[in-house]
Amino acid sequence: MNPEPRLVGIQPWFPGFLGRWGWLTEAIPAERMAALRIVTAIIVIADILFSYLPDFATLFSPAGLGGRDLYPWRFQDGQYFWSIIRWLPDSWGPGALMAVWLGSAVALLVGWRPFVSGLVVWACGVSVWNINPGLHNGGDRMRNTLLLAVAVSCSASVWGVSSVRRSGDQRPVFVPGWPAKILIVQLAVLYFFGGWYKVISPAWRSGYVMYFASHDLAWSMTPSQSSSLPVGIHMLSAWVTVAWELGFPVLVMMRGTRPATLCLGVLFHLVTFFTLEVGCFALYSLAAYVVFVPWERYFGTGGSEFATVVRTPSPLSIQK
Amino acid sequence: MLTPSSLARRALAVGVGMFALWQLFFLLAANLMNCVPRRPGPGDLNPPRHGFQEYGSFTDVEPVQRTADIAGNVLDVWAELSGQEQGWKMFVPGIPPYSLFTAVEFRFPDGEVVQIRSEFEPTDLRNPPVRPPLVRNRRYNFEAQFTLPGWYSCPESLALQPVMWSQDLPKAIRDQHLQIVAWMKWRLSQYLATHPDRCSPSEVVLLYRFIPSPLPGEPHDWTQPVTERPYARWLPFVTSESGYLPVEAYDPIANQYVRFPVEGTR
Repeated sequence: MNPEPRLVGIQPWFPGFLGRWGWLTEAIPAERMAALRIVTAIIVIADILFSYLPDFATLFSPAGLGGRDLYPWRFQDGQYFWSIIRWLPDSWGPGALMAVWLGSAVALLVGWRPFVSGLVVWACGVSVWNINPGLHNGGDRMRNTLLLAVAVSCSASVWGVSSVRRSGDQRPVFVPGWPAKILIVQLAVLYFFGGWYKVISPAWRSGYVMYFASHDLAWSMTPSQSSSLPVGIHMLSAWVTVAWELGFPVLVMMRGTRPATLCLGVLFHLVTFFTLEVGCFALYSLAAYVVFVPWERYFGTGGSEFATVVRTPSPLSIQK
Repeated sequence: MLTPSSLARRALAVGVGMFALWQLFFLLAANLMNCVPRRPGPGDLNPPRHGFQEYGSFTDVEPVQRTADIAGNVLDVWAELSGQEQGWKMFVPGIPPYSLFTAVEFRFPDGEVVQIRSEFEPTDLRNPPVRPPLVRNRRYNFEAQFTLPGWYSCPESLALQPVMWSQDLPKAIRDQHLQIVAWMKWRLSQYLATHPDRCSPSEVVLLYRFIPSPLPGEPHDWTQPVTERPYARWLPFVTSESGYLPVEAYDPIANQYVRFPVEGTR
């Protein structure tokens, strides 16, 4: 018989029927959010090391493609964009922010004060995004949502220097599940609305979009290799993409179709990462998939059977 | 009886619950709101915030439209504060049957013209090489903001929608003039670093280069004739005292450059 699970974190209060809605209130094994934290931190570190730092002087210098005044309209009255870089001197501000970003990402990786380090990583990411949106794409907007969810998710309850197991408690650990639900909803709206705009496009319905994407020398990173595929494969990939994106919100909610839906998503993002100039969009999207993997079965203390039965208790019974 | 500590804990639980609900609502509502035509505010017009929001009106019933405008503005505030702008339109409405690259042309006072092509344009169009993911993606994104406004502006589209292109391309250039100047200055500094004997050019032209893609059934190379067209021009010696921006847009319908007054441009 399994020991009673331990619930960690602030259990949220939801009004009315929302408080009885299992999907929203259920707790999830802490290993899932810990894995999300670790994978997200690794991708942020890779992003900093491989996409920002090699061109740092160019990307953040007023003499290059950066500077605080490159997108001044974002910071005018009536807008709510912000960037810490604008509050720091040009001479050392961007460098200091990048150092803090890298340091806090390492702290997040090892699980040291995950709420604070997560918020710092998020604030640095938003600052970099806002000071120069031209360097970024939709993947970086996904990054911001991902980091916000990681910061508030009690993600270091296990597998980190702040782990509750360091005190010797070996009970299965559960954390509030709503941050994971935010990521699932983010993925669902990302795919569904992306699919919607595609399905109303004649070019996508014809199926030739992926043919021309793979032959576009700017967007395709493997034009010679991709262009050798039969036209039918390109057309099929376009139609499958649209159907999968439109169906994702429903297919991922049904237990029977969830594994295939997620596997197709992983394949989609891996293929686009290596063949199209989508940058970190593929990686940050893939990071959100981590919450679907039952890590607790492989590396936990056998608490996965509680995953569907543990519900958020009264706010007054918080254990940590 | 509730102690101060249990009251604080309950307040925290309520706060976390409200935040969770707001985040869930925001993600759904912000994406839906992109499809609802809204009247732009002053900050949305000059330049536009992003290309995801439908602008306009969806009803003549003023209170309904005003409610939608206000709701959209509230969602925008959180999107901007939290860095979570929504809108997902990758490769929509489609990919044209050509690749579009930028190039810069330095025109020197002595009449010499030097063209520098995009670092992403392959030199071998019969067998373009593989590019590694991630490593130059930030620079790619920066350059792509200049090709996206004219991605579909091939000669056939110009002939079909001349009024639209004659208005939209200059507007995009006016909105992006700071980034265009930064990019052209950066390209110029790279060139001058390797050619220290050269003086500054009298004008720098940002060109579009259209490279036709092979159609299905054709040989897999990109050797059909390349079409070039000016997109914008930077005049390094023009100062704001002239009353005009140092960047001019090329109107591909009138085949002439368009100047922008400094006044009214942000």
